[in-house]
Amino acid sequence: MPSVGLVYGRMREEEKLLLDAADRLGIQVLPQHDQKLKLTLDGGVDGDAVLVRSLSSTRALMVSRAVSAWDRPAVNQPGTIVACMDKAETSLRLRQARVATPESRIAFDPETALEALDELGYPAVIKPVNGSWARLVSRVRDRDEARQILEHREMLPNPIQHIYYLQHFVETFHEGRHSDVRAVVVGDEVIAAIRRVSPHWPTNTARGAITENQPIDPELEDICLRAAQAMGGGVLAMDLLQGPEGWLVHEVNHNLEFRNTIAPTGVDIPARIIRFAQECARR
Amino acid sequence: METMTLIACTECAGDIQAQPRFTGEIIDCSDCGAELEVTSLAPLTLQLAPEIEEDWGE
Repeated sequence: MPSVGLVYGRMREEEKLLLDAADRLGIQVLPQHDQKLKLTLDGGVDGDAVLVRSLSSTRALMVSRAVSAWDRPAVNQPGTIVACMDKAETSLRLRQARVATPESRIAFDPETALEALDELGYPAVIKPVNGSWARLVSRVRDRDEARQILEHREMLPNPIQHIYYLQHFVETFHEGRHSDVRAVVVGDEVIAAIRRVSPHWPTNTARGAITENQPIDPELEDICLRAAQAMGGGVLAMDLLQGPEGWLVHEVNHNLEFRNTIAPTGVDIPARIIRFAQECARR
Repeated sequence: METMTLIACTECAGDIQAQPRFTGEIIDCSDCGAELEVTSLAPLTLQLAPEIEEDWGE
């Protein structure tokens, strides 16, 4: 039976759930802390397939590139990680594949960003192209608020923060609460979906949103599978909003946190991920 | 049965009882609230967990 390497940066609840699932399934999983990895040009990560769960997307990409170069399957593939870790790249790929996504702009200086925001209209969202857990994601209601956020961003030392990724704000407030949808895709199947509900925006579980089961209707399934294909496939978490004309994919995550998705859906997500990784080794 | 190991918090020197299974696990010090990362299992060593970096996340 092929083994699965599990490269992690922090032993989170998700990694422990993956190890427990592997035990139940009788699949040999080899946990490896990325901090201690020493890669050569020929190897350095154990496992017939490697599940890349580094907390740092930079490390995840490096490990995935190396594993792929050694002709072993990495979950996820480097192309998928590249497409997910840069939100502008995600939007470009989704549009290229004709997957509905909020209208977006990319600008390189604050004044041009303000012009782009005028085109999008207010309210709008200013996001960094990298990062997660809604860090530095700002909803701006008018030009004055936008200017303040852009001025702060301009002072940050990292040049990546001077790429202004701007997005049309899709209303999330319905029936007295904010919500969006998170769907989990493993291979060619949408295995689970939740609605993330919060009294405030953004509706991120890392920021206290509660979760409930979201039925997977054919429309939701179709857009998730097309989005997954656009990103290169693998194990992915789609973040979706419901616009006036249907579902919109606004972000795709390559290193999903699923602890809050198991209870409301009843789906054994870690088992599905481990099995998928092992199947990749068999292909 | 696994036994708990007693180790001193690197920040406040308070006693921490822990039985980590992996490096990269996070242990909270109940005395000072510091988040400590397990950097080695044998011998058990801890260090202050790093702050969240820009590229961390999903």
